[in-house]
Amino acid sequence: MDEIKEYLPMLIPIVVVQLSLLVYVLVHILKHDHYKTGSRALWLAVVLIGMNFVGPVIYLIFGRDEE
Amino acid sequence: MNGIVPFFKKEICEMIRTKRLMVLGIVFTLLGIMAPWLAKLTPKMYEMLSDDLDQQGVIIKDVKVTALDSWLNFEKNLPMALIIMLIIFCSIFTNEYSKGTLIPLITKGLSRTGMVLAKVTVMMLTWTAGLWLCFGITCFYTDFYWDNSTVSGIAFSTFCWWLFGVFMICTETFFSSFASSSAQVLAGTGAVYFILMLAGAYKKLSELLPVRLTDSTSLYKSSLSKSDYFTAIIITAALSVVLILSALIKTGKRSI
Repeated sequence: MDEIKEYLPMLIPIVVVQLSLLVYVLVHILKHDHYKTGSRALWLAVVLIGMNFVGPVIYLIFGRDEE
Repeated sequence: MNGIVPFFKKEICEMIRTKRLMVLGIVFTLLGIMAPWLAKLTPKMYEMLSDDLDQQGVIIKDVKVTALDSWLNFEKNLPMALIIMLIIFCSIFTNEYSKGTLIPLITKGLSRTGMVLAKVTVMMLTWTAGLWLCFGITCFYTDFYWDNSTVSGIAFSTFCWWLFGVFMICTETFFSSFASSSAQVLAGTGAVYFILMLAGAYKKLSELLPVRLTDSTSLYKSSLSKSDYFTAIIITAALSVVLILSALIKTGKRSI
């Protein structure tokens, strides 16, 4: 338990940022049906596989339609 | 030069509405936390691997992690942050040219020089804010768990990285001034990065090239002093100015 306490100051911000990013991106994918490239299924797969911020960032750069 | 203020406001507005600012903010924050986080986890990872390694004859006794490991991770993360930023900004000029959204503004009398300078300023401001945010987070956590004073030149090496980023932004602006698509801009900027890295492998040349600025490891370990970087700093700054000036000339002549 003490060990976890030592990690908490870093663990909490990481979890908060990554989870909020994941939720934001998932909601964004489900609300839109036009993407720069790819389909909804593809982006859901990418985001869920690369959950720890790589997937969501890839979606935001290459998938999110800016219109 | 007129038009720099309205273009600047427009760029800031665009950064916020297209969520570029948010994406970059998250990337820089996460990379800032990742550096000390990975350093903190290193002993745990070795512990998990130790059974396998024992069978291969490698015996691991207590692994010591210091502030240096955290800063080395920080240095390794920076190229990723820079590349993500360059990818996000590769379409900042070409998108407008291909959609023709600049025509109304330019024909109303705002200058092209102002447009280019406003975009470059916004890119540089983003890089500056992001990099120092990343630096601040790593600095805080590293000092929290270890001691920053054992590593030398952390602020100076980050300044060098900042200058290298500015140089890459100028390169991107230069390619944007004549390329017709964002893919070409990205290819050109990537080629410059790649060629610089290759040329940097040649020891005598690397002292003069901008890549010298990305060598933070030697600074952390004090095997190089600050004065060894000055030639590279001056050359990088001069190259950036030249790139911006030629971008201004080229943009002035291109058809929008």
